[in-house]
Order: sequence, then C-alpha cells, then structure tokens
Amino acid sequence: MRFFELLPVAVVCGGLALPAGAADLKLEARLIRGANDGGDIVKYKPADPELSAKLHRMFKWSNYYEITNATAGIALNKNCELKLSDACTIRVKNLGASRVEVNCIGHGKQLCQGAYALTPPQWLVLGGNDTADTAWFVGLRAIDTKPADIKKAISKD
Amino acid sequence: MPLPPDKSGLSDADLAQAAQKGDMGAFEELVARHRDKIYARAYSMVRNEDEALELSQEAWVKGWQRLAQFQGEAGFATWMTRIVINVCVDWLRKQKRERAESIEALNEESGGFERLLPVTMPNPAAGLERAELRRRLDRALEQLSPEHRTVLVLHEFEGLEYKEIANRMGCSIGTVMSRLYYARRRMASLLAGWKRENEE
Amino acid sequence: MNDNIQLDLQAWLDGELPAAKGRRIDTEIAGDEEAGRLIDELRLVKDSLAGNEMGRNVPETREFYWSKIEREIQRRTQTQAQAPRRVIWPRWLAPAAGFGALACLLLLAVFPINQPGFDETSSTGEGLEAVTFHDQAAGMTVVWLTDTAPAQPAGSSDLKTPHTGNPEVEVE
Repeated sequence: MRFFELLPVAVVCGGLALPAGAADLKLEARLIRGANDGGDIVKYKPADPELSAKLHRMFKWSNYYEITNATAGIALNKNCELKLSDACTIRVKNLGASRVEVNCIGHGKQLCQGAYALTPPQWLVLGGNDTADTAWFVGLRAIDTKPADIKKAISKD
Repeated sequence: MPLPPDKSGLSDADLAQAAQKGDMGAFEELVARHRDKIYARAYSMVRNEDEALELSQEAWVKGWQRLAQFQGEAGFATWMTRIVINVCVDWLRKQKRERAESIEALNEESGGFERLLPVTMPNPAAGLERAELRRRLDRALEQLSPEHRTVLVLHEFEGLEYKEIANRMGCSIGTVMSRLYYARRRMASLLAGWKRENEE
Repeated sequence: MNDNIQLDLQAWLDGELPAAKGRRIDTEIAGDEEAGRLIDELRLVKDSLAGNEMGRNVPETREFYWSKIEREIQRRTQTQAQAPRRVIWPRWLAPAAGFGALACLLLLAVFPINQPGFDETSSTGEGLEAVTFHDQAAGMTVVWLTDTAPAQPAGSSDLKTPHTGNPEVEVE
C-alpha cells in the first residue's frame, strides 16, 4: 500500500481560534519519502537539506523527497489532526512543556502512538518501509516563534 | 572522583575502572573506541554483516556483565576480543549443528584434495599493492568453511597457539593442525589461481 | 610425504614442535625438495596474512549501535532484579538463520532530550513493532516501525547497509 497518494494537506486543530498563548505549540510536519532512484517520484521536490542529511546519515536510501508539509498551531492540551496524504494522518496533542502525544494513522489503521519530547530544533521522525524498497517518514518539529507568527491552517478543498 | 564529561582523553584502564563501578558513560566511551575492532573480528569469523553486528553487541553486553573479571593484565581491547571470539565460536558451533553434513564438508574437514596437491606456489604477494593483497586475502578467506577460517583467523590474526585454539573451539589439537593446514593450502591454491588469471 | 610429516612441517614453521622433533625436521627439510617447497608455500601464506587483515567499520552510527547495547544491558539488569516483563527479542534470541530484517522492540525511551524526569512512551498497532532511538548529535528522535510478520529476507536492514528485500508495513 502506498503511503503517498496525494491530497492537499488538511489540518484540523482544536483550539486554533483561541488567542495564541505561551503554552501554544507551533508544529511543522513533513511527509517524506526515501528512495534509491527517481522513478515516479522525481516530480516531488527534494526534502529540506538539513533533515535530508540527518536521514541520510541514519538510513540507507539515497534520496529523500518531500511529499507534503504543513504547519499548525496547537493550544495547550488540545489536539490537531494533520492529513498529510490520503494514507497518512497524524494526530498531535500538545501536552505542554515541549511534549506532544503523537498518533500515526496509516490507511485508517493506527501504526503507533506515543508521547515524546519536541524541543526546538529537534526533529521527531516516525518511519517505516513502503512499497518498492522505499520508505515513508513523517518529520515533526516544534518551531520557535512568537504567537503572532502562527500561520493559519491550510484548508481542505 | 567522578570522571569528567569529556572522556575521550582518558585511558582504557581508567574508563574500565569507572565502568566497573557502574559508570555506563565510561563503558560507552570504551564501546565507541573499540567497536570497529570488535565488529571486525566478529565479521572475520561469521562473514555476515547483520550477524556480526548482533554478535559484537552481544559481546559488549557480556563485557559489561563480566567487568569485574577484567583485571587489566591484558589491554581492554584484547580482553573484549577474547569475549567476541567466544561468542562467535559458540554461534558457529550452533550453526554447524544445524547445517546438514555433506560429503564436501566432510572432505574439507579431512583436508580435501589440497593436501594431495604438489606444491607449486608462486609468491601471492609479489607485485601486488597492499590494498589489493588485502582484498585478495579477504576474498580467499571468504571461500573457506567457517571452521577453517576460524582456525586461520585465530592463529594468524590473533596469534593464538594451537592449544588455545583447540580449547576455544572445543576440538583436539590434531584437528586444529589439520584445519590450519587445509586452510593455508586452500588459500595458497586460491591466490595462485587468481595470480595466474591476472597474468594471462 | 605422508600427512603426519606435512603437519609436523607446519608445526615446525609455527614454532609449535617440541625441540627434539624440530631437530629431526631440520634434517628432513635439508634432504627433501618437496618438503622444502611445502614449507615455502606455508610460509608465504603466513607472511602474506601477517598484518594484512582487511579492516572493517561498524555500519551504524555510534549512538544507534550503543543504544541497542545499553537497552539490552538494562533489560538484563531489570530481569535479574524483578519479575520479567514482556519484551520481544527476535534478533537477540532467535536462531540466526532466517531472520535478517531489522529487529524491533516495544520499549521505553532510553533517555529524554532536555527533559529530565519525562518518560517517553510508545505503543504500536497490531502486527507492528517499533524501536525508538535518540540521536543526540543529529538532534533527532526516530521511531521506526516494522512488521512482525514472519520470515524476513536474510541480511536485510534499513540502516545504512545496502540490503534489499525489506518487509513492508502491512496496512489495510
């Protein structure tokens, strides 16, 4: 099953309309594919060089492509759902103090759930194998910004 | 006195002493320093990357558990090398039990046809750059059975005597001698063959 | 030349022959061309091998390699100290043949990033296993999921080794 069927990213966040507070979390999420050759994924842009280098250091794939990316603001103790593709949805809860609970759903099935530290500029990367000797990765990062810089959610078509 | 955060300048003996008192950071520094050597020894014996990784990590875990036995009479790397050798020998012994006995394997055990060959050995190293010689030797080692390769590795690279090899492998000294003889003659045959191919 | 003499010649070369027998071998070699050639061949192989072992480096980062060792040390320590908890160790304990894929464990984080006292936790969906790894140098926490379906291809690994045949995460 492919993890990368595309839809425009949909972000649904609880508490987005609330005034941004000190405990709010601005989150960046990227869906990335690791592969060893171009194939049908050359149409995607190469992943962020910094993140690519980190993945390259650890994993065997030669190329890392960014399929989608999204940002979202999550109020304290609130949830946010990011649909990064038809097959991949991430639910993130802001636990406060740079901690998040992440629920990764693949093709409607829960893949993993966990509570993690997410202190900028650290990345949290979830990943697994995909078809044709490729891999999927979801990179999450908290962005250090002032509340006024939080972007609006990307709307679903 | 606790060790400084940067342990890279400390001796193996100091790190081992700290690790014996439960300092896992000191042990981690020892792992970092000697992991390549321990992994390489495991790989030389089992010739499989994944297995060598697992076996070398198992050796490190055993090293941690047995730290109290490290007295410093030999270097820490030497001590760890002995542990990984034992781990690999145990693994090979288990593999051998699971391997079907074949006529070829039995023939190889007794020395094979190589022991009957006349000696016509040109110098395998003549004219070769060191890197190329190492590659050929490594390729030839790959061709040996695990038992023959182990004896050769332990004797030639670890400098163990026949008796110690026999103890570690759980066989007689006579068996060690036969295997070593076969392994050397097989290496000679392989290297001579490749040398002839290159010259043609 | 019989087998015993061949092995004696080798032992003589390796310095493993008792002194008296060694003196007899000296005489043997002096008068026997074939014995001399055999000694030369064995010596050439011995000398070629000396100092020419191919070096090899661990094909994993320092942190990742250490994290597995540390985890196992902690697991064995805890097992000794208390009742064992359910932990999956397919690679450490399984027979070597047949299981070459990256083995994964359901585990707790080894250490938090800048969060003293915060225990990271994770769980996986049915049929999956996860390994969580912190790479401090890279500033990254990785949660890698694999399928627990049987019989992974031998030698496959996703971490910095060019193996193929990786298992897929099965999702419906």
